[in-house]
Amino acid sequence: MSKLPLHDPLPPLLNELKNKEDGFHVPDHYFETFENRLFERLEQSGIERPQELQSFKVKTNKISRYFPVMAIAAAFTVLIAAFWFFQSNVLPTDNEIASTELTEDEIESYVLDNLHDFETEQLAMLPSEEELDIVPPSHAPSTSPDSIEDIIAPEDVESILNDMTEEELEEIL
Amino acid sequence: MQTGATISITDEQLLELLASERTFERGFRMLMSQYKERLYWHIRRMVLAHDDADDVLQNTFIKIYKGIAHFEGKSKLYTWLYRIATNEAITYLQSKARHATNSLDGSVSLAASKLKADEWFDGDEIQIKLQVAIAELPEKQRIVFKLRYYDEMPYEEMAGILNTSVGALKASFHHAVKKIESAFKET
Repeated sequence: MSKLPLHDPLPPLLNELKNKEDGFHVPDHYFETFENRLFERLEQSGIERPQELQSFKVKTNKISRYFPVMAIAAAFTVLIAAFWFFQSNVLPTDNEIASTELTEDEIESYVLDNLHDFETEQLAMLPSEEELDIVPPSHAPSTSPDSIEDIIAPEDVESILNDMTEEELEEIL
Repeated sequence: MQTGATISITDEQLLELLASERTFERGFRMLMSQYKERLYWHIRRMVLAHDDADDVLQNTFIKIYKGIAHFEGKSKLYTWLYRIATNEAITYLQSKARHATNSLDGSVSLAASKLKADEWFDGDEIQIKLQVAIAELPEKQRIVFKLRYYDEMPYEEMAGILNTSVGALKASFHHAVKKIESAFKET
């Protein structure tokens, strides 16, 4: 029996008696043989083992059993996510941008090498440098064949036509 | 007082063993090994005689055996076991009291005679007087006094076993001490 200090105030007599032998004893080997005697009684009485086991505890214990594994897995996930997050959020410096900037030749050679990846129609839709010079995107109105005269003055059309070769003109027509 | 060596195991480990059909018997044996002595002394101080305590302890463990599947884990296992042991001891005492004399001091006489007849009690007159004084207390005060005085159980744990507030338990213990003190002064 524990002998922790009892904080409740006790009269001196009860304090004194508490520290003395109380006179209660048990037969020799009483506790050692108790389990076997009880199981004998259970068998004699025909008391069967409980059928319904503690399913709620099993669930709890499964969670607690796998908790360390789950915690390690969660920690790894957080580490990987944090690594990815910081990597993707590190902005390149101006020097890095300059060193990684592609030249026009490089872009062109890339497009030619990977031409099969680009749709012909998409390429056809790309404006030429001349078109970009004639109609800057910021000022480009919504054009239609009917309104082309609004964009190019008749005298300009005439000079364009004069500059074109016959082959080019045939191609357009 | 005799104590036997026990292997310490947590309540969670015990319940895990009890939850599996394969390990149930081992788990139940370990549960008995872990708690039998504490429950025995709790019961013994309530019923006084060893033979009675042995009967009540066996009944307690049979109740635990039958009911462990329904233990919901709302309280500590220790609290649940103590509650069963306390109820078994009270039921046993009440059934004994019904068969005892109808005289007003029947329980007191019973306590003294039980102790004197018990071969496993060799306390002196003052110890018998203390046990008789305890036996004179109302049931609740008697249980609170024994749990606090002998088992030194914290009031919070006691509240879980007896379903009573800590304040009420402290008041019960205080009244019990005063009554025992008066009983000694009278004689």
